[in-house]
Parts: sequence; C-alpha cells; structure tokens
Amino acid sequence: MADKLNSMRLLDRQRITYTVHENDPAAPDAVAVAAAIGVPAAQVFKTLVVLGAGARPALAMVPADCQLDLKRLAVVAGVKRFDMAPHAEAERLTGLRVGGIGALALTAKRWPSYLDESALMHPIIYVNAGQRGVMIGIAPSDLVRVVGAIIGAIAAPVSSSL
Amino acid sequence: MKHAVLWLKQWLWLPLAPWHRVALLLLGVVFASAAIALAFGSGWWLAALAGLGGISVALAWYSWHERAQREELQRHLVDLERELIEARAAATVAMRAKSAFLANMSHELRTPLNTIIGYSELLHEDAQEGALSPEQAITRLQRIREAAGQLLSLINDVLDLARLEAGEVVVSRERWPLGLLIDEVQTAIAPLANMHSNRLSIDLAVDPATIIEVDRAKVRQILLHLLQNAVKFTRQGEIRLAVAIRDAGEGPAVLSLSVSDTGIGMSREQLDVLFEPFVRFDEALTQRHSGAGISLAIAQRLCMVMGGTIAATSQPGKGATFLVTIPLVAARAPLAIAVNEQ
Repeated sequence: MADKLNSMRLLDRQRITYTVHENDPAAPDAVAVAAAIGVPAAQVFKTLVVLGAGARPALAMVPADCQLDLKRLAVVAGVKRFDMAPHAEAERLTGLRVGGIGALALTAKRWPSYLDESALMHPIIYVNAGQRGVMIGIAPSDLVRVVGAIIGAIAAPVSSSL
Repeated sequence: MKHAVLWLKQWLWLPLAPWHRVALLLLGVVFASAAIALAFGSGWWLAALAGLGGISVALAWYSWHERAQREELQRHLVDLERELIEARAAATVAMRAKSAFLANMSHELRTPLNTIIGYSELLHEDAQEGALSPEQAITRLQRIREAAGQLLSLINDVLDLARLEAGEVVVSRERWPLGLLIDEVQTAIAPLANMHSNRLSIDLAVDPATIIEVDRAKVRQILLHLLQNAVKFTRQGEIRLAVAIRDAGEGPAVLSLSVSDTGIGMSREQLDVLFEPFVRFDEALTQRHSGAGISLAIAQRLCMVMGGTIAATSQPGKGATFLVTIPLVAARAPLAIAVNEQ
C-alpha cells in the first residue's frame, strides 16, 4: 500500500468514501490500467490537460476507451478552442508525471475541470490519484462535488474520430 | 503663434478622419473670414491673428471633444469587460451547480431503481424455476414497493423545488382550525419517529380550535419536511414540535413553529449551506441517511413564498432547532407569485 497521497487526504478530510487500487506503474495506457485493476475500461477515466488561448489550463476526464473531443469540450466550456497540452507541458504545469495526472490531486490549482457525462452511468468510476499506478474508485457525484467539475458530452469513441 | 503651431502639430498628429480635417479647416476659415471682415481697416496683422485664433479654437474644441469621447469609450469598454467577466463567472457557477445536480440526481434515482430492477429480476428468475416461496416473494415485493415509494417522493420533491424556483407556486388562503394540522402531522410522523425509538412531543401553546387563515397544504409540507429531517438524524432521542401564535406588534399575527431534535446536530459551516439544494454533508452519514438533500431547500422556499422566515440553530452532537414564522393575515407574497383568494 502506497503512502497516503494528497488526493486521498483531501477525500479523508471531506469524509468521502473511496477505494484505492494499485497497479503496475508501467501500464502503457488507461485501457491497460483498467485491465490491471480488473474493471471495465468505460469506468476508468483518464485525466487530460488542455490549453485554451490565454486561459488557465483545464482538465478533461474521459473514459479510458474514448478520446477527448476538443471541439465538444470547447463548446461545453464556452471558449473558442482547446488544444491538448504536450506531455512535457502537462508535466510542467501539473507537477505530476503523465500517466499519474488526476483531477483530485490538482484541486488546489482550481483549474476548470470537465467530466464526460458517461461517468453518471456508473455507481463508481476510477481516476488517477496523482501518481502512476495508483487509482481511486469514487462515486461520480462525489468527484463532481470535490473537484467542482462540469459535466458534458466531451468524449468521442476512438474509432469514429480517426 | 506658439499655441497655434502646437495645436496644428497635434492636429496633424491626431488620427483624424479626412472629412474631420476638412470640416475643421472650413470652420477655421469661416472664423478667419469673420475676423478679417470685422477687423477690416485695423491692419492685416490683426486679421491674420484672429484667423489663426479661430483655427486654434476649432482645434482645441475638437481635440477636447475627441478626448472626452475616447475616455467615455474606454470607460464603457472597461464596464463591458467587467460585466462579461461577471457573467462568465456566474455562468460557470450555474454550470457547476447543474453538474452537481445531475450527478446527485443520477445517483439518487439509480439507487432505488437498481433495487427495483434487482428484486424484480430475482422474483422473475425464481418464479420461472418454481423456487419461490410466498414469504420470499412478499419480502422482495415489499422492498420493491419501498424503493418505488422512495423514488416517487424524490421525484415529487424535485418537481416541487423546480416549481418553487420558477415562481410557479400559488399561495392559497383558507381558514382552518390549527388542531387539524397538528393531527395530520402527528399521524404522518409518529410512526417514523417510533421507528428510530424517538419520542415525539407536540407543545401547543394555543387552543387547537383556533381558526387561522394560511395555506394549509404548504404549512403541512414545511412541517413534514422539517420533522422528517429531524427524525432522519435522531436516534433514541426526542423530537419536539412547538406551535404558537404571536402578535408581531404592528404587523399581522405570526404562526410560529419550532422543530427541535436531540440528534447529531450541525457545525457552523454546515448551517451556512443548510438550505442549499443537493448539499449533503457527510458521506458516512448520507450512506445511512438517504435523500437528495432537498427537503430543507423546499421548506425554506415554501416559507419564503408565504412571506415567512426560517432559521436554524445547532451545535454538533447537540441537536438542531428550526424556527419557522409565517404571517397569518395578508401574506406578503413575492411579485412572481399570485395570491389566490378563496
């Protein structure tokens, strides 16, 4: 069991129930993480850092087996456009390693967060705790409350957008 | 002369539209001609000076006017920008609230629905296999019924709140004896209170036969929400309802209702957000105490619709008290709410 991460302390403070799931930090992507912790990929949400023109960075959470639809995200956020932050930039901005970026670990930054609406279909979803190989299982309603996330249809199936 | 050159320089430097320059020149010439005509016979130098003076005045006026306009525009832009920022912040807050609402509702709706689906599937399977005992069937049907009732009351609450927020609620005025309300509330709450081994006491400071004029359904709803809330958070304690009618000096008489319990109580921070819809405090608690956290929001809005007030005092571990006052005659209703005289 890893040491308590800041995200877990935050949830403890707010007395929110969560579960911790550890997996091999070398997992190549979120789908592999889902397989490693033994839950459907649709319930594992990856957190992506996006940049808008002049605005603060924003966080977008979409299911592991989907990709982020930047256009839909821009519509939901009411901005002109968003771009994915390059890996190095995402790591510099968040102070976390790619593969270990999670909105729960970044609440102090007060960046706008967006959660794909498919999260509401599941009683529990899994998001990164802020460290590669550590996932947190949490009720979507709690995640929305803690992170102040805005819900919208921001995910697209991987196949259709290629 | 020096001034004239200065103005001329400024004029040339100013980003003026060509027709502005022409108009200004013309104005200058008119002034100059007038000056020459007036000063005719006084020597050329006076006429020339007057002409230049005319141009100077025109330029000075124009530049002052232009600057004032630019400053006004600047101020307007700053105002607009501030309004935009405020509107955007408000929109974000609204979107967050909507998201929290969606997330909570989907959770709250799914829980009883899953119970209904789960138990009906079990019933179906066992019935098909012929392995269903009547006792099992009755227990499962009871669970389904309870979940359906929970779902219905949740939907009713949400619709009530939506109607209240949209100002679509009509306040009716009717005359009825106070005792009637107390009987109704006691019948509805006593079984609930007993379930958690609580004592329910009603302290009536007025004659139950007293006729009051106020929307009975709404007062009943407020009391039920408050009492249900008290029952929810109290175990083996006491729930007390105190009813009184007070004279409020110059204003109309006031129906005063107080609901207190000896339950788990609330902290200062919790009291601050108590009447916000969909705020539930403690996950460890709310797992035991179901509900979308909207009953108090409904109670508060119902009070407001009738021109009344609601307040809560509490300390963690020391129970909570809710105080409601409702004016009995000539309820001050908000503009959006029609008062239906009966």
